[in-house]
Amino acid sequence: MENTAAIRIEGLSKQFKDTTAVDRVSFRVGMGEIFGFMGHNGAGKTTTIKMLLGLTKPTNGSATVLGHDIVRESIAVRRVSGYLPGSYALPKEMTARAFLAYIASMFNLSAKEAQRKIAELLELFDLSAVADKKLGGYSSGMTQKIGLAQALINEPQVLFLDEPTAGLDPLGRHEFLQHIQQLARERGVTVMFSTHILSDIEAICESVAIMHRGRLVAADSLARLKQQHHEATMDGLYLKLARQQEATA
Amino acid sequence: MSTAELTLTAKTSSPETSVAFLRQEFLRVLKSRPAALVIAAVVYSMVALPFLLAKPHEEILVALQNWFGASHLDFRLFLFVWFDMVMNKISILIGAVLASGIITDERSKGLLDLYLSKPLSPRRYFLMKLAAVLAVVLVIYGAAMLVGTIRFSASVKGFDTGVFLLLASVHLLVALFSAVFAATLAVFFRHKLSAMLTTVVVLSILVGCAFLGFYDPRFQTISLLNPFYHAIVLIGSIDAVAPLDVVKPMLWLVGFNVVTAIVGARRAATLGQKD
Repeated sequence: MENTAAIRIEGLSKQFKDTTAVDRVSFRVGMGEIFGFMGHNGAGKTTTIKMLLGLTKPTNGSATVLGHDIVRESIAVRRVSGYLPGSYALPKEMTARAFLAYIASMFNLSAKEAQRKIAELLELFDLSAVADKKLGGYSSGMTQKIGLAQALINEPQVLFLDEPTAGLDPLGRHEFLQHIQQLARERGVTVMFSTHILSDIEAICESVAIMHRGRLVAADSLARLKQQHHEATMDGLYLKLARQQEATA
Repeated sequence: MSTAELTLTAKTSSPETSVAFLRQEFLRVLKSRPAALVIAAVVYSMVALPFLLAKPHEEILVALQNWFGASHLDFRLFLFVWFDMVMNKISILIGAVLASGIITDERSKGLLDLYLSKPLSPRRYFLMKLAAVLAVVLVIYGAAMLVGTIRFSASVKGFDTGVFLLLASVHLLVALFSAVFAATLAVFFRHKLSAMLTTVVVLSILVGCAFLGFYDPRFQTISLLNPFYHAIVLIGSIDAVAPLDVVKPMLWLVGFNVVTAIVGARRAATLGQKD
């Protein structure tokens, strides 16, 4: 585990004035795994991801992504990472191809290399036919595919997905989850998958960290957690741990 | 893959500076609706300007004679109309519509985090976006200068192409200042509308006070703090303006631009940290 951890978090905290958004959180994410990061809205998932990407500085603690310190080497972290935020609106006046070219330019890819990767990603997400249509006309499922495509433009080794399936219909969700599994399986991408949809976690994640009110409630393999807490389902496990945390708070 | 190998991968990745991003951003801004609005305003001005020159208000002619003397009155009137009534207003428009959305647009769409998750520091991201806007301003303003020279060199009595281009080159820096100022405000404000309105109010006051030093010489010293004053100050000396005369107002304007951009960049470095 020591040599294969893609993400290591040690006592990470974030304080916003009087609010503790993340409170001394520690866990590790293994290389190439799909790691579920779950909790209710406001549990501290997004803040943790933002800290890992260097988008906000931790108040305390430390973390590394592929060995890069998230504070001192945040640019290096971003070079090897992809990120899909929880809520965003793609620039509706741009076409999918132009938007991906715009994102590719942030990685200083040559025009030829960018075109190759864009064509590959459009093909992967079955968007080649609508690549030159403006993003304003895209459905939420297509928007999420473009969102995922932009996160993959630099062929990241670690992918941070923040509530990526929220707002998708069942078919869109199923397709999206399949893409994530495919990325982990075929490209060895480590995926940190933040969500509050328990069935998504159950469907694709091997390990999970459960957050509640800024604190880490549990972090382990899904099977082990279920066994330890004598729960057969993710629903039952989450409710039990959240209630335990409420009682001790 | 070991940590050492991973570190090597990251180190051999692309450098932080991205010419490709600058080019993409320049094209994006140039093709945007705000840029189309500014270009439309310039075109409208070119059409409307001859009408303004044909029937100038008596008080404008009197003021010009009082401030600058009676020589080259037609050319001075043209310069006044061109710089004050047209390009100063277009400069306000440039600031408000082209640069006010630099950070605020992305923030309102939830795209700021997405863009800042790429390997560009927030400071560099801001500066590159600003550079792209400045490049678009240069193109639009340059085209306006060229069209103005071609369109009016024959029809305005006493038109001096060299003097016009010299003065326009100085004034270009104030158009750039408008963009720098608006972009800097955009980093401080959360909402585009607030940034835009503040930009319009502040730049309008500065434009309104540009000729204050001519109107009343007692205000000349305080006018030195107004970038728009430096942009038009040479209208007073067109009888003997030489290339070297533009150095002083240009230095002032470069100073205003650099200081404002530094303030914006410093603020941009904290982007996201307080969200």
